[in-house]
Amino acid sequence: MQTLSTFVIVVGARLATALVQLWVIATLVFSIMYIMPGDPVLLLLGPESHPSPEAVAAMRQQLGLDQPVLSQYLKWLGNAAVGDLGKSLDGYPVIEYVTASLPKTMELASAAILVAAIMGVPVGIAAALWRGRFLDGLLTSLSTLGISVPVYILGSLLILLVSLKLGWLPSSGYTDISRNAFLHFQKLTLPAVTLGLGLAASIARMTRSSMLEILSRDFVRSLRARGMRERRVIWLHVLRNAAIPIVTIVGLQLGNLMGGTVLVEALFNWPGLSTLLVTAVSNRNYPLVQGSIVTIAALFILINLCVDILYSLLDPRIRRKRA
Amino acid sequence: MPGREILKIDNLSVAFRTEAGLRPAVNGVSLSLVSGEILGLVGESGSGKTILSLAAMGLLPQNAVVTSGRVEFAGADLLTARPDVLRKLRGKRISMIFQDPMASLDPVFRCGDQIVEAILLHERMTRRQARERALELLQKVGIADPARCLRSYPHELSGGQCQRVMIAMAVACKPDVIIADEPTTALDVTVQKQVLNLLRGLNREIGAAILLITHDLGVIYEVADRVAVIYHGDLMEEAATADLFAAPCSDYTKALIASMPSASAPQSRLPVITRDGSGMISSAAEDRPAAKPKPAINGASEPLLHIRDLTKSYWVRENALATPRAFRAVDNVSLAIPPRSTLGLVGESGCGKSTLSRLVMRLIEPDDGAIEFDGRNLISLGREEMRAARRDMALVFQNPYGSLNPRQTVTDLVAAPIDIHQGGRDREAAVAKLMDAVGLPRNAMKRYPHEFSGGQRQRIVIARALALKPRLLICDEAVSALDVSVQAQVLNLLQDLQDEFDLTYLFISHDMSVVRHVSDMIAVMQKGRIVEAGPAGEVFDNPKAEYTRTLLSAVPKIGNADPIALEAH
Amino acid sequence: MKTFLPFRHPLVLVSLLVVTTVLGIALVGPVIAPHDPLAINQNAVNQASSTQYLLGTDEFGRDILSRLLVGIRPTIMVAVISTLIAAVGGTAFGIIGAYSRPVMAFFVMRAVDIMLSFPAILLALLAVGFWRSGIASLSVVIGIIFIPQFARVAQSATLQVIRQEFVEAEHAMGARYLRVVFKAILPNILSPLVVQGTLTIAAAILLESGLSFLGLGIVPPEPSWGQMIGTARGYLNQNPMYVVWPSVCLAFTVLAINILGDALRDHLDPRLREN
Repeated sequence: MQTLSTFVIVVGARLATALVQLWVIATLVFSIMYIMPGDPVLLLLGPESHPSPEAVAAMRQQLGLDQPVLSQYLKWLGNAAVGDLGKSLDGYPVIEYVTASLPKTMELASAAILVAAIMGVPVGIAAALWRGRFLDGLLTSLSTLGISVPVYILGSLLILLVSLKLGWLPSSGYTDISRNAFLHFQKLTLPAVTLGLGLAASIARMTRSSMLEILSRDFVRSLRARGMRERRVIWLHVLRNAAIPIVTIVGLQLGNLMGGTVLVEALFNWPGLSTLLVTAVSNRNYPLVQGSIVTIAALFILINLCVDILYSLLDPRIRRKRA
Repeated sequence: MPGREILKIDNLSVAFRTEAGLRPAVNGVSLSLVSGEILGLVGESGSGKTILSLAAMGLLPQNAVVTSGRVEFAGADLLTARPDVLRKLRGKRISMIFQDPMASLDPVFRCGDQIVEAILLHERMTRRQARERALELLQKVGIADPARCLRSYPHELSGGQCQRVMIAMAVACKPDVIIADEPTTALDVTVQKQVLNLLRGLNREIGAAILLITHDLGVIYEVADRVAVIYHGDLMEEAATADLFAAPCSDYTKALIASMPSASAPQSRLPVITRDGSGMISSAAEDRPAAKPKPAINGASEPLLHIRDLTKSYWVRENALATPRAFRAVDNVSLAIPPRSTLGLVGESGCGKSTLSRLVMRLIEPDDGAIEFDGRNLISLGREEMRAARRDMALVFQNPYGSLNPRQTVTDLVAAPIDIHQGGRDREAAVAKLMDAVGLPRNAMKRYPHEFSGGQRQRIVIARALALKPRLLICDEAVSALDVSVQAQVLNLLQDLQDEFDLTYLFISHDMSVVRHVSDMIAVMQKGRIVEAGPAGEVFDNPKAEYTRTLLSAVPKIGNADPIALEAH
Repeated sequence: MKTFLPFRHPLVLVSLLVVTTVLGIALVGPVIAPHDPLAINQNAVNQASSTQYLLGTDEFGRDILSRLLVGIRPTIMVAVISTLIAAVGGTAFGIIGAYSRPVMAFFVMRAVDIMLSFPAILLALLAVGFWRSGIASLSVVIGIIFIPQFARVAQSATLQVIRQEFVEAEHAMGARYLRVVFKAILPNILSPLVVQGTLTIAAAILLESGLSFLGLGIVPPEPSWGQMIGTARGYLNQNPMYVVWPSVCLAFTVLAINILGDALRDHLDPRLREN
């Protein structure tokens, strides 16, 4: 009743925030062309090539830059809202490129977060429970190493070792699941593990510290004073409380995850959204850059939204503001 | 009531591991708890009383080591007992109530589930039976709507209700011993009264012996059968309650009782605890310098501060859905303080007394009303004029740890008003004089706040408040965070300074006995309103408002040391 | 008195040495480089370690050691400049977000929240996608990208500080805004800011080298570590050590900075110090 309606309010407010975020990123993506110094058209045609005025005008028209800024903006927003992200410079609709690569990125990201959660959370809990012992020291050092080594270095070294030296897994590329499912998952393994390991490190660190924080609370002492088994104290009460910050942490890591996919997709030639984006940036294919960034941002906002809703389901004190 | 010895602490010593080696916290303390009694354990902060209680439950923190002694209970030594033996005793035969009730409940489970869980840990019954039992328990501990409480999360209950839930869990399995560590310190005085009565009643009803740990001698006097006094980890004395208050044996106990404001005549100089070089403790009451004659209170002189119809509302909402409604934190308050007198403002937490102090300083803007200071309405002043007006008034806060910037030296701290209003002219000399006035050594000027004790910090705060020779000093719970012996020193200082600097005090406190001690006039505040105001003696001896009577009857009093009785002399 | 931080833990001491060395090389790298880092040698392409080329050569026969020694400088410059930008901007926004009129604070912090909710590298890609790369532009872009994180840290630290009574005491004494900011707030939020600064340097190095790895950062032929790793990925079979050298250098630098940051945080966090 009251709790339920409070929950609805929280979700509603969160949904509104997500829409605002989407609008801001769409506006940012649109306006970046105007904020950045230099004429985008000249940059696009290559500043050294001294393009003819006709070519410049044609390009301007193709990009819609000849129209008033406000109407360009409204058109861009309106089209984006119904899923039309404009046309790539090669004439194909941006949305086709995006829909082709989106599932691949999502597959990679999901696999990575699975690897990260399965490895990171238990390691963090173990380190907290054996605080100050050898295992804690080892795990903490490993996780410091994990957050310091960029994914593309970890990936390169894994390719060197697992693919080139040992020959266990293919080093890169993508095979469609309908064509060869076994090869598909073989090729998924290395990028997912690479991406997941880095995330696991930060998840483990923060799981450890939130476990320690909960363990130091007064109520844990009073549970023990009531004669509760240590196992029950930890696995029921402490973990249930620690779940709230842990879910938040895993959610916060999604930012790193998205950043990581950019590099991992490039390293492993994984034809996802990020590869699309990097190629578009290199080719100065502005409509494609805009389209893929908006899509990645939307995906990211959506996942964050889910995490926040999960978070408020876990915490009975949902009325309290998010820490 | 002679009973059998049930919990025996024998020559217990506990120390903490620190970088500098072992730091002793409890030294060879022996105590025994007899079935059916309430044993009070009194000590000031750092006396080792909490460590003693944790040791008795086998719950010492990891950096604590037991250097000697035993804790005998039910034929076992709790200090060396195996975990499964301890587990069967804890909660079942010996249970504990902690200081902060809200933090002692698991925030993510409903209270009902937590009580049921506590019952099922030790009793064989079905969940349904346990739930019925929980309902009975909540009724027994005086929860108004037990069924609703079962469904509530801890954050939806008040502090007093949470403490009742904790008590319900503590008595769920009818234990032989309950250890209560400052069970009422976080609660208001009226709620404290109810909780103490509840503990006393349960003690009678189920026959559990209670070890009641507190810093408050009044609480002990109200409920304990016997008292043990602990100081710096040493047991000072142990006696029946009546004997202890009638004829304390140890010097420390004598000094402790003497320094309570309610044990001295109002506005007299309080005896303070001193410890000479050989470690001898004594209680010393110096004579105060001849006080200047006080001005007549009743209307003869123009008031220095005159508050008229002051009102401040906040918009609050019960939950995210509810439409916000105005909550009147300060509701139509009028007060007048004559120069060189002290107005004591007393009330429970949340009554709006702190808001009132902020309003007078215009740290918060009032909705309505007037604040006349020396004939000038502060509300009508512009920003810069108000800034200048703050020279004549100063605020002394409750928490001597929070009100000093930890990154500034004492000189910078005390000179702050001089820097702000006079561009720092002659700051060193002025600070040196102030240090003398508040009784701090001059070599303290170069040091930082963390190098001082709570009482010394409060002296620094007072020195800063006096830097520009203000006329009005607002003391917001200025001695509430201090131990009773330190509190006595600071109260003495405030009285001396009032004479020396012709100060006017607005003295805000929740503590009736402190307010009675310092005030010429008293105003009682409840839910934002002043329910009663008048000369101090009158309000205490002949309270007119119902609420004042409730407050007065809730204050734990120490029999023959009743201030009203004393004043009759 | 406590022992000076680095000497209490050998790992921290080693990290301090690594960071000092890296900074030193950033200063004098071009002078001590044994070869010209841009000199192409078609006869010595993708060679393994030898006495002439200590760490081997790359796909154009350029000396990898020299390129490593020289390639440190742009990375460090970008990291330091961008951290300074982030620190100054972030601290200002953070303090405003915690200690100013509610309307102002609201808008500042909502802007920070929205910026924070996007992955840093995405914003960087968006910026470099429309802007020429170079040390100056990279520094500005990366600096701006890290402002929100800094602002978040500064804001939560400021919120904690202004809740304390000594700030209210300043108001009660009639202190002006800037006195409160500089005397009461800044000195008390310095520790978390210093720690955040260390972490931001590490993050900026990672972001810059990530962009260079993608070929969107420091422009070839000028070397940088990330870019070398990115290029080497195409020659994993022919010259496996080509990818290893810059990887090891980059990883150890970032690791050392992170260890220093952690040690600094443990040292400065009063809660941890009490125990």
